[in-house]
Amino acid sequence: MKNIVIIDGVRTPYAKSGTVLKNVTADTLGAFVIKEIVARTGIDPKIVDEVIVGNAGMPAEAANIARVIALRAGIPQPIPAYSVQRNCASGMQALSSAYAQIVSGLSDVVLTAGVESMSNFGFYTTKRLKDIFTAIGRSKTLWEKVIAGLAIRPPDLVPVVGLTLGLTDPVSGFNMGQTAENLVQDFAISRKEQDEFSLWSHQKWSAANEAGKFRNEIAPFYVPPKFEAVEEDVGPRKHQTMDDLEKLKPYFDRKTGTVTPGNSSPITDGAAAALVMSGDRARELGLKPLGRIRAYAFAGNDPSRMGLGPVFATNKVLKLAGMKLSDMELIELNEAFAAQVIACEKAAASEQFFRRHLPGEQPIGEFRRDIMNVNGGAIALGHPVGSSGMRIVITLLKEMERRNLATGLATMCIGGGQGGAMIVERI
Amino acid sequence: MSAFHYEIDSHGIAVLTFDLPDEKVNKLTTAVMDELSRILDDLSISRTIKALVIRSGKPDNFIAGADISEIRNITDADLGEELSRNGQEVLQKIEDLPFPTVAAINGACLGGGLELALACRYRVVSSGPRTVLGLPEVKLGIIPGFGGTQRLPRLVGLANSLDMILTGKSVYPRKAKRIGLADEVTYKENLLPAAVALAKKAIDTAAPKKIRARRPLAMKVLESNPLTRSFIYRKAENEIRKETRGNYPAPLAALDAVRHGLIHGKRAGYAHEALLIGQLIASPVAKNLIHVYYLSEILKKEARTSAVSIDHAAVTGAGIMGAGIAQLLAEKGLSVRLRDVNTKAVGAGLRTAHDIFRKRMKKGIVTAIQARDGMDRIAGGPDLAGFAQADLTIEAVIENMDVKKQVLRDFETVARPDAIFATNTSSLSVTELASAAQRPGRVVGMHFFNPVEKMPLVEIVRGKQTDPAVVAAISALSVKLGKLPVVVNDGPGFLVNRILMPFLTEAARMLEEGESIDHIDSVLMKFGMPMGAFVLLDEIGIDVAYKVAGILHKGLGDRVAPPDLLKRLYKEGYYGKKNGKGFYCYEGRERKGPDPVVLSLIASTNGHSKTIPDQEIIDRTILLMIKEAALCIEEGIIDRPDLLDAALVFGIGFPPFRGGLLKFADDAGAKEIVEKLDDLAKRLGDRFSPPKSLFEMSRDDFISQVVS
Repeated sequence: MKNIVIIDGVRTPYAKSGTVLKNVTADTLGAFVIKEIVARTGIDPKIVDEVIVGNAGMPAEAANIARVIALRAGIPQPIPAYSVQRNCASGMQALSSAYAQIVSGLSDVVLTAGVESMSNFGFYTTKRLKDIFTAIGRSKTLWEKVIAGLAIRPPDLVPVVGLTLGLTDPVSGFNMGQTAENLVQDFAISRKEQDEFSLWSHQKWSAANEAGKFRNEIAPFYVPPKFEAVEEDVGPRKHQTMDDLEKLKPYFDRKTGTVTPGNSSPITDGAAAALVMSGDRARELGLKPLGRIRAYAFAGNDPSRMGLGPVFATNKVLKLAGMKLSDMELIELNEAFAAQVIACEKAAASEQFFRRHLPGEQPIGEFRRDIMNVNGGAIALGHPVGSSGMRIVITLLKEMERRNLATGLATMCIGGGQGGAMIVERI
Repeated sequence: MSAFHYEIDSHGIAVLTFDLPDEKVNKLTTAVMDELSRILDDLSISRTIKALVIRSGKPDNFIAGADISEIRNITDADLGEELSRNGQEVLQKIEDLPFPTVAAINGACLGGGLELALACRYRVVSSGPRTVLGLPEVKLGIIPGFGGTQRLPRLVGLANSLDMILTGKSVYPRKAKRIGLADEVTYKENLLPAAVALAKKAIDTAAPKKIRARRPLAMKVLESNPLTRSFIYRKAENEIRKETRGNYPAPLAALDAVRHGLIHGKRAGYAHEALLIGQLIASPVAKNLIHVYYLSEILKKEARTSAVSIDHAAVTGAGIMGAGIAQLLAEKGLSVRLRDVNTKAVGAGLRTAHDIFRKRMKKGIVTAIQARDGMDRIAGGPDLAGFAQADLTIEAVIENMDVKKQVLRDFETVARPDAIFATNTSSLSVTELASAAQRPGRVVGMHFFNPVEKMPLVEIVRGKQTDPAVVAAISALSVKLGKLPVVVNDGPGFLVNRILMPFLTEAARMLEEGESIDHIDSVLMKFGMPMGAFVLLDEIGIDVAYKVAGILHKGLGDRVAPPDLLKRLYKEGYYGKKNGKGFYCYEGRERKGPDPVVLSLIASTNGHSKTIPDQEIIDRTILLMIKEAALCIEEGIIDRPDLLDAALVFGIGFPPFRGGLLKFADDAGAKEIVEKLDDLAKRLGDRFSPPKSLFEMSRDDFISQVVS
């Protein structure tokens, strides 16, 4: 069986939406990271077989954003590109698709990226307003246009916020935050537990940032038009306190909820990229890989409790790889919400949970906190939806390299009720 | 073989295609005009043609102008006048055709080519990057001679036409539409269909009579009657006299031709245009300007195509030069990695490049998408990422040999063995720098001038060990970048700065002796230099000039020793325009009068003022340049006098109307120059003593190789 390796990965600083990256489009961020990974790995772009980009928002002005990104990054025209969307795990999907394409022999070298500009999620018109505008456009005479326009009523003019639409699951009717509140109920998670977890995430990020751990992961981004360099994530609070967190009000259930903006991942802009190829090709080119993809799995679960996705996906990938959770020396579990991570911790070790939802399976065990998200997680540095899936794999491998570890697990929940999990190894 | 062919479609629309055989570019030679004349005669009596579209068969140009080589050899004003008359008559046949005519223009449409298009009723223009319209004749010392001075004002209005004709500037599609020069702008693939459609619509309509430009009301009023028009003429004349200082007769003649036609009618206008161009063609100024034009063509031809393709470049140093170079490379399609010591410096460099793109976009030289693509091609960082893939690296860091050697060593740790290392140094030895290289053959000098986007010259410096293939590759690249490369051998100051320095230091010496900044600078500008010596010193930077002068002094000897004044000003912190303290006073970017503090500084050492005769001011500066140029040839810095002349015209703006420094020397005669130098040496010092080669040449004349 072929060895599929990740040569190296890089990302932009992640910035809270509405801050420094707010005017940078997703394709600009994507072109930047693709150019960076090509420059850092030193490859000739001509050897690339495919460019795969994960992106959830799929902006209308950059149809097949992967192609736009590839061309803007100077990847030669003959090299094809396509975009993938698996909601919050689109970045991980890009890596998985690259794996599948290489392992099947269809490609040898694939450039992947996961990008999101949540600042640039659009506002939409209501369907009624759109139909009225279409009727106006189709009318031939000025009089007809005026008549068509008279149908507009004030409620039609209220824009629909794209972000809200995107973060609401249409099947269950719950938005992401509400699914977290559902888990709070299911697992009796206290507000305090969530806030403590969040504080810990910020502290870990802060320590890692001070120690310069992100320097070989983040490529400084120069923001037009002044081109001032952004070298650090923007948004994580270096001096977060429990007081700050306790003061915040619940956002998704104003009356009785416990999930606040402080114990949720912030809306964020950012991009990440990685170069994936077959082990043989890496050897031929004299490139030393960061690690290899051992196995990956996606699994479906209840959309109203999407936050438990990691449990289902991890269960599946461990079986695929013939390994146990205790074999994992380092873990990245994407922190969409503190409540959701805590719920996963509880469910993974719960006989009762497994009996009900995964009958015939044994609980996978403990997501040990001492090896989980050791440099902070999405609660601190944000969750640009299409990008995080790639970031957690890259950051996992780089920390494994620092600690000289062999095996790691990256896993995340996915809006719509799925989980993604990827086991990586250092070779 | 015929240069024209035409087809008539079922609707009676004729399409006439001009495709000059065996040439990349369409030109209006006498043979072409004869053939065109015959064809127009045929077309005029056709019964089936209802409209005519004229287009070019060349992929990237319409018609680039008349044949300059035909004009070059004419010394008789009557012949010149006749050439113009003939051309006017042929183009008049287009205007007289009994059906509408449309010119379909893609690429360069210049000089006679635009005049042909003006004779058509309508012009449709493609929006591609290479489409440009203009009447650049004044740049060659002549004026439009095929009716352009008469047709253009009546189409776009007086002010717009004078702006084009008197400066010879290029107009891009967007502006062309705005001023009514183009009736329609469309993309290249749609050019012919759009022209045919316009022709069809125009069938059985009369030719439009009014001026088609979109002009503000004030301008319309000003241009509408002879009384207020004379105000425009006077203003234009004053500006011309101020700019040209009487050295360039062509713009005044062009103004005269336009005015004559508007006062006395078109027929008289055409006759006057022909008369004036006849006189100009035979004039020495035109001959010299055409000579300079051929010099630029030689420079491009000398840069033979190289098999080496340079697509990825890395630039170290994100200051003004480095950022400017990165912008140039990116605009021309290369991907560029920009590096400096920290992210702040890199960001500043990216900003500089971005600002240059924005400026060029506003001027219409590049479109918004081209500017965006260009910036996409530039990435930067403080490390060596991206340097491994570079075909070429250019270093533009500070003028410090140790720093440059370190940049070289860093580069060689990651670079491919065939990658080229080019240095933008203006004063340090390329050979010395190469000595620190593992692969000295790949090291070459590529000296740009400031500002990079504007200055056409690039000095390509051969180090002792530089591989000829590397020189060829960089020369070819320079042409691709739209620059003019001149290859020189390594030596202090290379070629251009070495020759320029004595010009500057001698001016400073005259100031020390008690002359005035104003007087010296105005005399030098009257001679034709684009700016005075002290304006230039302020622009370059007194600190830079002082340091370079020191390097030249060390390398070339006492004859180029810098005067004390430079040292004193440098020590007092006078760095020129960049820090607002120079020979002149500066308010932001604007130059005011001479700085009285500087004057008093001089007066305090000198005590008295002195007036030096104009001719001596010129002799002392220009003859020293000639001497230095001769030494450059003697010492093998360059072996071709014509290329030396080209370098000085395109590098420092040596007056093109004089044909070049050594052409000027030629015209004066080596004998006279040697005599003057001898005289100056006796009076003022050894630095003037004539070099051996000049002395020998004073016996036969110094022959500047003229282009054939």
